[in-house]
Amino acid sequence: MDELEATTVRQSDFDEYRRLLARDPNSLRFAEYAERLRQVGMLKEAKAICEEGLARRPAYATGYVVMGSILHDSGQTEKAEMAWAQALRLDPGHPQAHFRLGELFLDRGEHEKGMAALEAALLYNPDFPEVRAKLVEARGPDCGLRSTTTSSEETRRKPGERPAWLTADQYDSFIRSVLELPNVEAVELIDDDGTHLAGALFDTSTSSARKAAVQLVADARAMLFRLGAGRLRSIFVRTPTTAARCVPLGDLILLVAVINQSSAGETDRCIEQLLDREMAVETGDGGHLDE
Amino acid sequence: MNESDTATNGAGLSTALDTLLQTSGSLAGMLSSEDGFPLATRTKVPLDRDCFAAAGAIIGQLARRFVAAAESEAPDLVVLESSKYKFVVQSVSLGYLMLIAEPTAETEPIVSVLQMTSKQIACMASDTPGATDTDIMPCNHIDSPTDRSAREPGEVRQ
Repeated sequence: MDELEATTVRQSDFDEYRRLLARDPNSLRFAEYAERLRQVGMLKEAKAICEEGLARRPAYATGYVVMGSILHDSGQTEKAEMAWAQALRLDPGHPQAHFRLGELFLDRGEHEKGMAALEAALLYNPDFPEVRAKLVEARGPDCGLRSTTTSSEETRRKPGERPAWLTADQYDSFIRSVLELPNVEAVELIDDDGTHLAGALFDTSTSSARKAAVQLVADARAMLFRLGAGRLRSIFVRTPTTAARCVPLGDLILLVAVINQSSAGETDRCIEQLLDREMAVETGDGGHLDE
Repeated sequence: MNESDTATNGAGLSTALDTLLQTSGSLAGMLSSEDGFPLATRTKVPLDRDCFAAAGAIIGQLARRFVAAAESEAPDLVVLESSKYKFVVQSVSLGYLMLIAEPTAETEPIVSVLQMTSKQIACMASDTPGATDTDIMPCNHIDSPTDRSAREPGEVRQ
């Protein structure tokens, strides 16, 4: 009886989508409709709706994400991968496309690619509980990420909330430690939205520089992902007068200005060693922070 | 070298890239135009030549955008480290010169050789105005790789 009621509700729900699409055949809601059909196992109908919608709206990335899910549920994993890849071509920052690809890669045993895709998903949507859960599952509970067993509200990052290995009360001492390294001129810790957290590298008037650092890290991560070239560890940029290093630390970014003519390798090694020490203290191992 | 792949007939560029690949831990040397078109590539391992050459230009451009926002001068060197590779990119007159190395490779020797090679390429380009990658000839006046003052203002694109 319950099943019958559920079916009735489902049909009326679907009737609404049908009416909507009949009224506006170009509506993007076809993807939502197809996804609902997929969720109840009506894969053939879902695929037909999605194909029709994509024929009308071929640049709609979410449509390809849904199509990929339908194909995946139908056992056509290669075609699913192609659909999700197409979604990323249309929208390189589509978190769901990164997530679905990440799951697929992990299922196939392609651990590194899978992790990179999941990290990309989290990068573009930090409030993505499924991705956090998957990352925790793949990395183990000591990875510094909270799983999604907490509610969505708890999962949402709040100002001052940092990865477990570097908490807000440690920012200043951490910055001081980096400042003591040879050749380091200035250090700043920023959030993944460019918010200043500790230290000082740029003048307060140049907050756009912080945003640019965030963008640099995001773009570099996306490029490495597309290239299948592993996860980002750091970016060192030298100009004729200055040199700076951007080190992604989970959802934080460490910016280090170094003496222009110093040995890049030596400074890198010192920073790496310091970070490894901090990591070891907090997590009990010496793994790299961005892995 | 286990595998080599040259996208150019230019003996000069090939020689320059061969010099790059003598660095310990190096995997590939690439010269790409500013828009990411591969001008010359030499690889020790199988890599997607076009994609990686384009990556060199992307890295260079990302860094340029970053320093522009920080109101600094144009970057002459970028080192991007990933868990799989170390990308060392230097701006040159023809575009971007990139050495891809193992992630554990020492950065300093790579930077020295890259500077020497970029000087060599700049020299080739200036010796043969309008030269293409197929007619650039080797340059004989190369500074020592240890000469840290080898970078000259005109050599690096500003």
